[in-house]
Amino acid sequence: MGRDHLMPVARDEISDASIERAIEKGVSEVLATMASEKIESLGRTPNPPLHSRPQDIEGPHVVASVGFVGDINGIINTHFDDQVATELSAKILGMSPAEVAAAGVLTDSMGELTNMIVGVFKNTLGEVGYVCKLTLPSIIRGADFHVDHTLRSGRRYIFNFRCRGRSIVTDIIMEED
Amino acid sequence: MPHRILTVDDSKTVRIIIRNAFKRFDCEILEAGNGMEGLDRAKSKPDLILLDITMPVMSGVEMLERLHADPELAGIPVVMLTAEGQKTTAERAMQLGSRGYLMKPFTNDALIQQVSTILALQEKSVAA
Repeated sequence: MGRDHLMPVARDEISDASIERAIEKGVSEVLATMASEKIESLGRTPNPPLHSRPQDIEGPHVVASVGFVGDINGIINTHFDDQVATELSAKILGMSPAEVAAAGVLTDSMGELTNMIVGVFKNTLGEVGYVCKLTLPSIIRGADFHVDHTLRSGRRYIFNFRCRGRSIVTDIIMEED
Repeated sequence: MPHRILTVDDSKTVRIIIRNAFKRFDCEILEAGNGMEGLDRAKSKPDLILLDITMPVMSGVEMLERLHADPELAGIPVVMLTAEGQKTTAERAMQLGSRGYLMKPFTNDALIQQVSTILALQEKSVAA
């Protein structure tokens, strides 16, 4: 067997367009399948600094974070406006907003939706050769906070969506190769 | 006699979705939040187990391995239910004896179809 056989398989560089396709597919597919909701894509925030709060998020909201580890490493923080989070949770679970609050399932629902979104995202990137696994979701709910990370260098993509007239933002932070 | 289905998933949301999906059928839904609890609930011999893969305490893959190592529980059909949808994960689950594989996000129709097909097969194989 020649030495060439031991060389790793070449993969396409993950382009910005691939990232955009993967995340838009994730958000639209998950919300359509689980909540029969259409989302509107408002596009990407141009050149966000590595550390900052996404601009389209204000007031009470829920942030669910799921990491991906393997050929590529990173995390996706999904920011849901509190009202749309409650409405989506109610729809998915067949409950009223009051029942969602009483059952204490709002944060769990947003964690699960984000888990599915990141699952579709990583499976889409898996199709071009990047294999990774998901971490368990972690969720924060509040009004005056922002989620940060410890990377000193990396790639960051912020994509903005609207659902029921409210904001959903996906903030993708990826380690540099 | 109602079918008894055990749902093992750390997400309460998924467990409620599954409970709602089977409301109109003659089914009793049992629930567990991780593989360890799932193994304990499996001792009541449900007709089928819906099993998430990525869970704290004990993963779905480890629970599946332990189920198949126990002659009392090895015959219970298992459907893996996960966002880890890559082919290698599916192949691994099937190698370990999973009867089916459903990728999240899933529709109620896909879930019910998969479960009812397997339960029908299971009844046939028990009756044969």
